[in-house]
Amino acid sequence: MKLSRESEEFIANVRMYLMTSGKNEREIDEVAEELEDHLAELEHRGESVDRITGGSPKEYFASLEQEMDNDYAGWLKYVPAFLLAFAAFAAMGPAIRGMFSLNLLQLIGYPLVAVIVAVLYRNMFRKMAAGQWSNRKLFLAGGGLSMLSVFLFVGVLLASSLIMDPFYTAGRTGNLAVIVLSVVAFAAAAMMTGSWLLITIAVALFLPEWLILSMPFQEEAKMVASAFIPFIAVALVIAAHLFYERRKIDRA
Amino acid sequence: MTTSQMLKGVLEGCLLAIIGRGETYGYEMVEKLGEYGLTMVSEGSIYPVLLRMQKEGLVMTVMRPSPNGPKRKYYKLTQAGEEELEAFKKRWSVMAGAVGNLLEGSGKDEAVEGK
Repeated sequence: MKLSRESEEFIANVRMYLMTSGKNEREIDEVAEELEDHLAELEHRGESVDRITGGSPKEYFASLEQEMDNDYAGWLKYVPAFLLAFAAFAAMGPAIRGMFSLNLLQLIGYPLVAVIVAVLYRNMFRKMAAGQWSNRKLFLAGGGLSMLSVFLFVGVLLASSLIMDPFYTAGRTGNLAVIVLSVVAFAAAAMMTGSWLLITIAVALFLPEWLILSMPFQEEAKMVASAFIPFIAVALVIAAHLFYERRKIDRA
Repeated sequence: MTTSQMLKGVLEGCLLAIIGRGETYGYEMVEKLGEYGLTMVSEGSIYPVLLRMQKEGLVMTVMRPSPNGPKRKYYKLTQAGEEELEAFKKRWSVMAGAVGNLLEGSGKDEAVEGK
């Protein structure tokens, strides 16, 4: 039996909330399946998800959270994938532009920014799941947070290049090697997480830039195009992904 | 205090009793509780309790296909669950008796006033 969109969203929120609490994945699946079954019965009788939560998803999620085992070790397996993908995202852009270099401040600043950004996203997803956010609120919070992440990254990049000289500046071979390593890192991270979204985002972000830079346009046109087109491509990829996921739910 | 709030404190015992009558699953437990007049504001509150009971070894579970399609989790009592149910029944009858006496005002209060 197919559940209503409201119920599907409720189940997705339960999963999201419990995942961001570091709960055991198998237990999350079990609870989600039980709730799906319960919702199917309720809908069969014309009732809604409010019968389950008593009108307060936040309180209900907290009561589930309290009874479930933490499994931080289970989630630690995603840390290497996160670090690989993160390093590849940071390194690939400069390498494509033929400007890959490293200094000490970046080496400290980037991981720090990565941790801050990861914690902020986790908190946002958690609040989103418990608060049953509207699309508008989600868009504003998500957009604000991704802008903040970009600012932090650019901040580290600018500050570090103003303050100190790089200890490594890549030549032609060096840049090429960084590109190849980044591609390998993306592929490895995608395999570890079992998600191809990561790779499609990376392709959308970097392939247009690489194509634009290797075309015989004027420098200014290249700069303008490479500032906008990759972000439009990423937005399209994410939109297509969301559309595809929704269709998958509707068909099931 | 609403019935739903009072039920919270004894939900584990009531679930033990329901499961003790034969293998059953989440939604059906809520329905059976309802048949006895034990209704809940948030039906989902049985699941955290069932999780805890499962961890304490009071119930065991088995997955079976349901008419709805997805697999359904059925519960039944373990030996420890049967024992806990008996213990709960005893505690409950002491409690119910004591509260009943208090509400009917038999004895003690008047005895204190009389002194």
